[in-house]
Amino acid sequence: METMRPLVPLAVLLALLVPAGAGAERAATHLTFQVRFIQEATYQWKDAQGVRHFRVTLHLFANGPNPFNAANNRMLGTTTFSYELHGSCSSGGGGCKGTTDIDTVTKLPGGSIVANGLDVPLAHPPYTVAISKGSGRFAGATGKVEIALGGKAYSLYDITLP
Amino acid sequence: MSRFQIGRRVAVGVAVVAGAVALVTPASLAQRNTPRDVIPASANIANGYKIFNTYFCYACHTMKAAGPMAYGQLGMNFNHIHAPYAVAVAAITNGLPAALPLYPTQMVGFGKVLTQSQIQDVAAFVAKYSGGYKTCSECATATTSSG
Repeated sequence: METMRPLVPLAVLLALLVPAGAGAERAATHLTFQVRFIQEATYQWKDAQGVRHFRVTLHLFANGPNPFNAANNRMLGTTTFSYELHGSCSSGGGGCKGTTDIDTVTKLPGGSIVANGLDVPLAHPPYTVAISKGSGRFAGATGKVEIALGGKAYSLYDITLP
Repeated sequence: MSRFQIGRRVAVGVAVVAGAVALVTPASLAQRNTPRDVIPASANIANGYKIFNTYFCYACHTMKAAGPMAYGQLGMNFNHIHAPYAVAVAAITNGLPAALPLYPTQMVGFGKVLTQSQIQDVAAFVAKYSGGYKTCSECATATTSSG
């Protein structure tokens, strides 16, 4: 027992240091993953100033490696995608001109992500919005979300956690 | 307190809870069927099918129930998505500048093209048969020539 005693403070010191080290590693967490989505029907309404607002829900499915360890096509959550148009769109598939203001709230396993964009160009998807806040496992998140990659039903989440 | 009294109190408690559940449940179930998804009884689904085809809805929308022409790609795919009745009425009447993020194409409004009755019929058709690869039973005898 005499020879064991000097090791006790060392063990305590290690026990204190290891979690701190693990915490420091977590501070550098960077999550990047892609999802496939299905777009629901679009709701529209006019506010008191006569501005038309639109809202649609996107159902998100796993597509490739993800931090939730979900198999491909497993439902991950939803995005509420609200927008206001400052421009026009062709009725013949010629796309849109102008910009849009976008507000999104994404609910994923363990937390949610809020991302917004002002005057996002309409011409060439994806629509890129900056992450402004998060909750749960995404508390303090920053980064961006690219919605409708190449005009297709895929989005990319690029998240940095504090 | 005797056993009988305790038993009676428990029985009264259970009855109160059961009564509360009975009162609340119909309200909860009613909420699921939202008012915006109630199709009017007066709507003519078969006529809605005809309008869908006559006014070129099929050119932009895919919908199995609408027949073999309905495989358009510009607008929402109604095999995948359910459009509630009120949403369909609003979109058909006023159009949509674009259904972002996936459909950056303007849908023109038909409010000045179709009558209120026609809008009701086509919206009812879309509301009933969108969402799932459904087959329209009422549409079997409808022809698309009369609009």
